[in-house]
Amino acid sequence: MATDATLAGSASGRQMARRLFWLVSISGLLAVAFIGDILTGPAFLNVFDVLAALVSPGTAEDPTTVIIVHSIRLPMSLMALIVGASLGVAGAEMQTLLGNPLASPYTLGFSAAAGFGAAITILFGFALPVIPSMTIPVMAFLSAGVACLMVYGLAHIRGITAEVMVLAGIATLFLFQSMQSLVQYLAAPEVLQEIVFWLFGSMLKASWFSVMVSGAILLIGVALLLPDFWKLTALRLGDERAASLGVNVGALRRRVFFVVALLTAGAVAFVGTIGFVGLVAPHLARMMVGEDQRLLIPASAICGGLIMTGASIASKLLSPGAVVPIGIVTALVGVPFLFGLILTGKQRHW
Amino acid sequence: MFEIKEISVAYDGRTILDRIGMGLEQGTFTALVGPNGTGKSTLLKSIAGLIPAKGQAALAGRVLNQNEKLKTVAYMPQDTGAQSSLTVLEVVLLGRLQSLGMRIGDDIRAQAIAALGRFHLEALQDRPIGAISGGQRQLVFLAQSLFRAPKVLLLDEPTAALDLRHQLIVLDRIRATCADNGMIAMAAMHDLSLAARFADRIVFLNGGVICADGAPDKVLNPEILQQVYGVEAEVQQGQSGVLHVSPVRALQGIWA
Repeated sequence: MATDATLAGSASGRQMARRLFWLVSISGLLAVAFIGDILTGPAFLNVFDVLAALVSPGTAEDPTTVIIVHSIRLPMSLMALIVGASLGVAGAEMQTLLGNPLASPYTLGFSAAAGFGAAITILFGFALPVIPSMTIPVMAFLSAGVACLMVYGLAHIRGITAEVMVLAGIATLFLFQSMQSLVQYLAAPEVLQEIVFWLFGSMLKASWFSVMVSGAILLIGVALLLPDFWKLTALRLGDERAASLGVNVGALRRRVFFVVALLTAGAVAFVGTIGFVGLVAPHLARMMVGEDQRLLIPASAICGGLIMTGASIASKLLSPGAVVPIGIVTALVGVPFLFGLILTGKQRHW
Repeated sequence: MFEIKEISVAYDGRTILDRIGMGLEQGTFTALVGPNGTGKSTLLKSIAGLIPAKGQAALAGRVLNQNEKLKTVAYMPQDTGAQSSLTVLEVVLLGRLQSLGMRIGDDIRAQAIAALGRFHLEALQDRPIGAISGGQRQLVFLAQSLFRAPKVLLLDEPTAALDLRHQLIVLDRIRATCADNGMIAMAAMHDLSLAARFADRIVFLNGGVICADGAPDKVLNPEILQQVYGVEAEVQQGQSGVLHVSPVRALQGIWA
């Protein structure tokens, strides 16, 4: 028996090693893609100059490169990475909470609400005192918060189950989509163009401030999830089994719901609506590292970051001299990845 | 001794369980039987603290609070399939969810593999739980429950949808753990012959109350079966000495 257990133990060790290999591999790929994203743009930059500007900007030979990298490209690339990671984690937790492979951060209407908040701000053209440049992100964030409270309020009354949350979320989604459409209908053509551009999602809105705020929200969100890693893993066996293992399913769902809302609002408030990443990144991660949340959460963040970084590169290459809104190209980059894994994968993961 | 005192459950003003009480001796296996919808699952869940209920559960004279119940009482739900791609080993490890950290030690991993080994399932440890057969899955969940080393194990129809071989393996292992470790087990069951074969005691539940309770040879008789199930049934002793229940016909007028 001891021999059997030892043999079996080494088999599970090999599986963990395989998963860690995937994690390290996609981290390396993300690092390469990140550098590639900084390199890509209208001004041709030498890879060594870019690396020098990143590692030791004070001693870099070409000051123009340092300025381009630090003032323009690095905030955009970091923002793409942070937004992708936030949506990847939010998507993974949404699918876990709702036990539904089609769930994404947008299922519960947070993104539509953020879009409405931005659209109405653009339509009326009002500005916040003290921080006028932050009016749209703040309003988008607040609007997503209202959607979050609506879904939570309904779920709180009827019981915080997956079914009630999905129904309440879909109702909220349609409500904010309708109001968003109404705002667009009422808007003058030039205002409409601005609204549509915001809704497409673009990294051109990124700044060091947005990087810091969204980055802080991502770190806080993941830190809040840390104590619940095993409980969330148990939830994949269903509510009843998780409860039988000692998980307070309602309280867990409540906590993680607010984390998902925070991550989603933090991601979309600055750069606009970006679809697909939150749906697909968790599936890619699950295929590589399984459902153990200790690996699934970092892998979902990395896959989300990778899709967004790839999309950011594609958005700059697709139309020479212009940057296509990144929200348009996320699916173009992610779908080949997904199809490849579906075709080469040996088993179902959802 | 594990004691259940005055357990009552009501939904929307309708009484599901009415002041259920019983004492379960250490090292015994009790079968909880009765018609569908009579409150068997509700009783098990209320004892485990998974649904709100009036009443108390006490172990060795000490009333258990919610946290103590989670540590002492394990509940294994009915198997309704599993779509998860969690591996078999991960599922067993989750049995000790409360003590798992970011890193899983070699000792706890070895114990989980040993728990699988009791059912000869070590070879499946890397397989997704959703990709193994229903019988194997039920054994994995039983291994998970036993990995928790509970003092009281409550099982909801542990042999439902299992083939004959797996039915015997599951119940034999539960009984052996009761005998070896002093664990107290109670299982909601429908197969009365299996209950007679493995249980030390059978409790008949009907309409939210206990209507018969005792050793299989004392309570398994045609009169009680007619009263509880509304059927004419024969109870015979096989060559091995085990009682067999054969339903003959449903009685008209008793059930709509």
